[in-house]
Amino acid sequence: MDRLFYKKHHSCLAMLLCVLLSACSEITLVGQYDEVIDQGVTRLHRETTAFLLDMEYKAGTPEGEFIANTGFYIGALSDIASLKLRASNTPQNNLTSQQLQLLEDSIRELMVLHEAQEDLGLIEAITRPLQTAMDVQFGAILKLEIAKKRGIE
Amino acid sequence: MPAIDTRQIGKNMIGAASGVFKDQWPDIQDYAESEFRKLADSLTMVVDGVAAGKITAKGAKALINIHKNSAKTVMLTVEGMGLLLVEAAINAAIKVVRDAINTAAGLVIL
Repeated sequence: MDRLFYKKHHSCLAMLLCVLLSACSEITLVGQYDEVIDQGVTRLHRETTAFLLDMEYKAGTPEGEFIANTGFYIGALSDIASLKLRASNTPQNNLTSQQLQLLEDSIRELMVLHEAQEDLGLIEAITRPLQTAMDVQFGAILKLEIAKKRGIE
Repeated sequence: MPAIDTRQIGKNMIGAASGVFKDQWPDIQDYAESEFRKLADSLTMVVDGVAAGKITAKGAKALINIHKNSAKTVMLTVEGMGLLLVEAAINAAIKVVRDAINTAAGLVIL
């Protein structure tokens, strides 16, 4: 009888200790900072900015037409696919995965836009608002990624 | 082992959590406002470009969609930063409990 009481008593204590320990351990609601995502998005932003400047300069020439610049789109979409794959394999990283999907959508829209411009190419009237929107989008992804460092530099 | 003042711990937990919100929430709000203002100004350029005949209807639609994607991306960042804030507030409150238990026990047990 006594043995049974102590056995039960110990089980209760162990359970209580588990509850106490789990209640006092830190929680995580957003995935951890990923340097590869940070650097990948930064590099893609630089390449996109350089591409838009180049296209603005070449607007109205055959070199500025969509068909002459498919290499940029293939490279950018491939890079985003790799980043998306990495983000989706990181726990609690759904927000970054969604952001990278939106970035892919924007690059695809840019393809449509570039193709629609035909021989005019990406003139300044297009590249200026486009650069602002892309800066905001890339900046938002980086801001969240850096915030995941949680104050640790 | 000295008694644990649960009322005081409760007060300290609320204090620790609200401190995190009070300090960081205005920065998130400022960020969102500033980015949405940039997008609104940029959309004005698109409207001007269409009016001037420099941007085609198809081009304008694609540009607007890119702006929409940017706005959604900013909202996701705000959501993430809000979650990080909640996380920090909960962890600050948990630390208060952990410290109180460790102090009462006289050693680090949690």
